Amino acid sequence: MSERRRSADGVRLSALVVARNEEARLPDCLSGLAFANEIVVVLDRCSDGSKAIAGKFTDRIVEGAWEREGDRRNAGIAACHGRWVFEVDADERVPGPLADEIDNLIARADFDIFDVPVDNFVGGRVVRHGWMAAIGTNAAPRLFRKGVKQWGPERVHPHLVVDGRQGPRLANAIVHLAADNISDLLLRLDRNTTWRARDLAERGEIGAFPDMVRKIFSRFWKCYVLRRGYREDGLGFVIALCAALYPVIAHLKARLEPAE
Amino acid sequence: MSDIRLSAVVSAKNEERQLADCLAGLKFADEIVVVLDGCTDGSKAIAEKFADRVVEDAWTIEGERRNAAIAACRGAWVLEVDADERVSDDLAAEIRRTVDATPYDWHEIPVDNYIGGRLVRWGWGASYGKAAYPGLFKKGVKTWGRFRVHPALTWAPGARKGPMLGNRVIHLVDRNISDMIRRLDSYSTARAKDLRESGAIGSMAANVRRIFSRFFKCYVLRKGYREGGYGFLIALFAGLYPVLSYLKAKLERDGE
Repeated sequence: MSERRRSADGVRLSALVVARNEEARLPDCLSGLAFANEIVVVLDRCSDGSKAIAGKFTDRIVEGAWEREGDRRNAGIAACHGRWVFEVDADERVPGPLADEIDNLIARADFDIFDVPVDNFVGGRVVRHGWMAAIGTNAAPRLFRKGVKQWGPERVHPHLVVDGRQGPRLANAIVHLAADNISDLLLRLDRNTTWRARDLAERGEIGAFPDMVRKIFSRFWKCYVLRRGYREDGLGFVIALCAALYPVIAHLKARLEPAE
Repeated sequence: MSDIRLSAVVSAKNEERQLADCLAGLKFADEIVVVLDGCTDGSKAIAEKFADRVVEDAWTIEGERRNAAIAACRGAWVLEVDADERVSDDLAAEIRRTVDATPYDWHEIPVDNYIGGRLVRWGWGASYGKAAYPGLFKKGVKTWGRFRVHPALTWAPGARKGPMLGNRVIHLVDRNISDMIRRLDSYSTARAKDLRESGAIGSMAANVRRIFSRFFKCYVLRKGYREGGYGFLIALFAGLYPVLSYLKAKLERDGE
């Protein structure tokens, strides 16, 4: 099927996975991407078995060392031969109905880029409410025509530059295994604030402490109340807390602990 | 008892990075006892270089490990030190003077907590850090409770508390803010196990209130504001410790 497609009109859809030492999660992720015409795996400074695993699923492997998430992701997009690119992370899974929806959509799309919903799981439990960009997201523009989307240069949560017609949000969601438990959420907060602090320090603009303290309350309110994190029982509280503390911890790391 | 006047005891769990520096500063004691709790790193080799006695076992409850450590001491007095603590020469001299002359049964030792290279003197407390601890005592007067973290202490009836020592023990509590976050995480995980085991995990509302009362206690009453950003984070994490423990106990029933 995919062979016929490829010979008829080149590579239609590339599934792109960018990974760094993800041997544990890569097999489940890649085994869900067989619906694409090609799978491209970008391996960033992998010292584990990621390459051997990727090799079982594809021969399109790009290895390198990127310090910045945006550069890494842009290199991945550049390596894709497909006219369409679908970006997936190693901690994400693509259910069959989403694969079918994508397949149908790009066969007749009048648009250039689509938001794909994300179902975030903490442990075995889906948490639908209360997310915020720096911690998790409910939808992301993961499906796009090649050339339409570019990542910014930040180390963590790079911004996007999009030039194309935005289509409707897909109906089916990516499954994102966001965290195993509360510890995992806290350790993720730690890692992401460390990267964010480096971005801030490099930019030379780390912001003002009182603003960051105010953001604790405004961001908590946004996640827990406006985005209804309260519906998620205690997990919504922890997620709101992580979102709330992200700016002040990043700020203090940048101010008190100049990198290395 | 024997003629050993003072035992210094360290209980350690995979502390190969810290142990040598710690033990090197304890030679002023009449004996050094090291208790190794399930160590899989090079702690044992280091301990054997310095210690008069090494006890190895595996404990899941911090209080039990600490009681076993005290029991292994032969001295009339015990000095309890953690692997991330350092005893200066001045403190060592004061401890020797104290155990020779004091009419009391136990003394508190003040603590200088360091985050990275920086001394952070203010704002500690509320089970996220200590400003002083009862680390010097006659053998037999102090018993640890059975909790995993911050076990309560019981004192033998009639044991008399003496004045706090004047010199401070150096506590290399955290290397940086990441260490502080990880310590908040591991403390609250262990605390959640204690809560689950006790059967009374408390309520969300009470633990949310504690965020504010404990923050106030550390940041204002204990003057954490004097320490700038670190004081803020200490107060914040001290405040969050109960609610995170509660939520881990409530949402993550079986261990992890």
